[in-house]
Amino acid sequence: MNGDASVAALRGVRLVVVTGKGGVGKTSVAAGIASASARSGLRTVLVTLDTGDTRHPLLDVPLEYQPYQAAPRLSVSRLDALEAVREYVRRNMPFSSLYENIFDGHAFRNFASAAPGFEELMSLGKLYELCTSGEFDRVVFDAPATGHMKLLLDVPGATLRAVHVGPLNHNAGKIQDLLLDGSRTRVVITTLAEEMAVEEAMDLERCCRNDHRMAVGPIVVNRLVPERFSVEEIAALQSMEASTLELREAVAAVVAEHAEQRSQEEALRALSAAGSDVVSVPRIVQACFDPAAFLEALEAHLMPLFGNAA
Amino acid sequence: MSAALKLEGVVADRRIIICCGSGGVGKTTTGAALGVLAAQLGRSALVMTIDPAHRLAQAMGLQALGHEPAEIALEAPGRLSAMMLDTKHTFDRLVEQYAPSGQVRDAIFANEYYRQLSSTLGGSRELVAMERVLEAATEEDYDLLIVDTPPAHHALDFLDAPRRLIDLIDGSLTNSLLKPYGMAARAQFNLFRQSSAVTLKFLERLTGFEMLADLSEFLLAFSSMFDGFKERSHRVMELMRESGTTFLLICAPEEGSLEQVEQFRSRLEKDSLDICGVLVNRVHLMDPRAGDLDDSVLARIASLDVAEPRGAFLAERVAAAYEDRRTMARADAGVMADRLGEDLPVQAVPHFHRDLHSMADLQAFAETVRN
Repeated sequence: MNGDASVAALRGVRLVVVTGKGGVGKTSVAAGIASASARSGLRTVLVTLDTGDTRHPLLDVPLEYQPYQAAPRLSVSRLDALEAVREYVRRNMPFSSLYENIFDGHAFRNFASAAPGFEELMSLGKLYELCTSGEFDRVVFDAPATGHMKLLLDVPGATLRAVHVGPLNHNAGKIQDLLLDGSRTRVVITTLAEEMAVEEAMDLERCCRNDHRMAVGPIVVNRLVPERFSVEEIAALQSMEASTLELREAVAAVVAEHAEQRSQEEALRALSAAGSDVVSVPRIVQACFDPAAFLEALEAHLMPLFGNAA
Repeated sequence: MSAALKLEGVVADRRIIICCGSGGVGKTTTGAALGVLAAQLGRSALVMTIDPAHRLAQAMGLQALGHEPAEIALEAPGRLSAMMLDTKHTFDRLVEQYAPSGQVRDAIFANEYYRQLSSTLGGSRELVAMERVLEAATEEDYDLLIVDTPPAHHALDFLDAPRRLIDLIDGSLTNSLLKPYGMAARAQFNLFRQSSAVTLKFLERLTGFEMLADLSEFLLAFSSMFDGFKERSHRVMELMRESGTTFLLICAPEEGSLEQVEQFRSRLEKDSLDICGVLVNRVHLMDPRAGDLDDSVLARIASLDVAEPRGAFLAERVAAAYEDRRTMARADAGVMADRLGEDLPVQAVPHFHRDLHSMADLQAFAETVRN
C-alpha cells in the first residue's frame, strides 16, 4: 500500500467523481467525502443520479434538483437532465419565457431521449454549472457504476466529434475541459477487496487515466475485515471439541472471518502490484443500521484523502 | 416468515428465468450457478449475461465470453452454454437485420450520430439484450434460458425502455424531424403543427443546426426499421408473459437493495408477470439460539497452546469475532424480516467469504441453492 501518495489527494480539487462497481458502497463513500469536505470548511454539494430513491439513504434529506441543505455547508442535489435544460435556457436564451411550455410537452421529452447523448451532456452541464457558479467550493458526484460511467465519460468527446459547431459543441467543449483538468477534477474509484471487483476497479482506473487522461486515485477499498488470527490459532480452535452451540458458532465465525481476510489480502496485493494508491475503510458492524453513526465512522477512515490523520 | 423458495423446481420446469436486481448483488454469479444446476438436472441451458467479467468466463472454462453461445465442459447429465449480450455488436446486428435496404444500412452505419453515440441511445442496451433473448428462445434449441439483466437505475428498464424507444419514433416531433432537416425543408415547417415548428426552432437554438440535421438523418434511417422493431418488441412482451417464463429477484441483505426488490416487484405485478421468488445473496447466517460464549468455553480457548499466535488474549479475539458475526447475522435477519413480505418465497444464500470464480465455487453455490 502506498499510503503517502494518497494523502491529501483531494486538496484543491473542485469536482470529485466517485464511481466503482455496483454494490461496493459508492454512495456511502461519496456521502462520506462530501460530509468530510463540508466539515473541513468547504461549501460542498453532493450530486446524485436519479435512482428512484426519494431520500438520501445516509443523509436522510429529500433528493431534489435544487440543492437541499443537509448539514452546515453541505447540500444535496439530484441530477435531472430535463430540469437542467430548462435552467440552462432560462439563463442563456433571450425571451426564454416563450419556450416555457415546450418543456412540459411530449415532443421535447421525446427529443431529449431521441438525441443520443443529449440527456447525459445536459446532466454533465449541470455539474459544470455547479462547479463554476462560485456557490460551491466542492462538488462531489455520486456517479454511475462502472459500465454506465464509461459511457458517460465518452459523451462530451463523442459530441465534439459528431457536432462541430453550435451551442452543443461549445458546451461539450467546456465540460470536457473541466473533466480533463487534473487540478480541478479527480476520479475516486471505490471497490471491495474481492478479485472481480478489484479487476473492474483497475480496468476503470486504466480507462480514466489512459483513454480519458483524467486524474485518478486513490482507490477506496471498502469493508475490510480485520486480521485477527494466525493460521495456527485457527487450526487449534478447529481441533477443539465443539461442546456447545456457541463454541461451534464461534469457531465457524472465526474460520469464516479468517478466510475472508485472507482472500481480501490477496485482492489488495493485486491492487498494490498494479501501483494503485489505496485508502482502506474497515468493515463497519452495526446491529441496527444507524446512518448517522455509520457516516461518522466512514468519514474518519476517509481522512487520508484530506491530508489529516484519522 | 415467508415460504422457502425451491429453486431446484424452478430450474427443472421453466423455460426462461430472468434474473433481476440492482448492480453488485451477484446476479451474474447466481445466473451461472443456476445454469450449472440445470445441467446437473439433465437440462440443456444457456446462460446469457451482460457482464463481461473475465474471471467468471474463466471459472466456466472459457478464455472469454463470446457473442455466440459456447458450450462449457461440465460433468453433468445435461449441457451448459454461455454467451455475452453485447450492446454495440447486437445493435449493429439489428440494423443489419431490419434495414430495408443496403443503402439505409450503410447510411445508419455512416451516420456520425450512430457511430459516436448509439450506445447511449435511451433503451438501446435493453432493447438489444431482449432482442437476443427472443432470438435464442425462438431459433435455438435450449431447454432453459437464464438471462442476466442489465443493471438499471430504474426498476426494469429493460422492459420499459424498448417501449419508450417505440413511443419516441411514433411521436409527433420525431415525425417532423423525420423530414430531411435541410434549408429546403425548413420552408415547409408551417405545414406541420405549429407546436412542432416552435419546438424545432427552439431546439435549433439550443443545440445548433448541424446537430439537428444529423439527428434527423439518423432518425430517418432508423424509422425505416421501425415496423420490425415494434413487432419484435411485442413478441418480447409475449415471451415474458408465457407460463414458462419467470422472474427471479436477486438482492443483498441491505436496506437499499431490498427496497429495490419491492420496486421491481410492483412493476412486474403491474404487468402480471410471474415472479418465482427472492434470492438474497451474502447473508450472514447463524443459529438464532446461539447466546454468549460462557466462561468455561472462554477458559478452554485461553488455555489452547498455539505455536505462533497472532497476538495475546486469543479468547478475547475469538469473542470479538463471534460477537461481530452475531451482530451481522442479527442485522441481516432483521432487515430481511422488515423488508420482505410474507407472500413471495425467499431463499437466503450464505456469505461465501470469497469471490466465486471457479467451477467448484459455482457447483458449491448450486448445491446450496438446491438444498
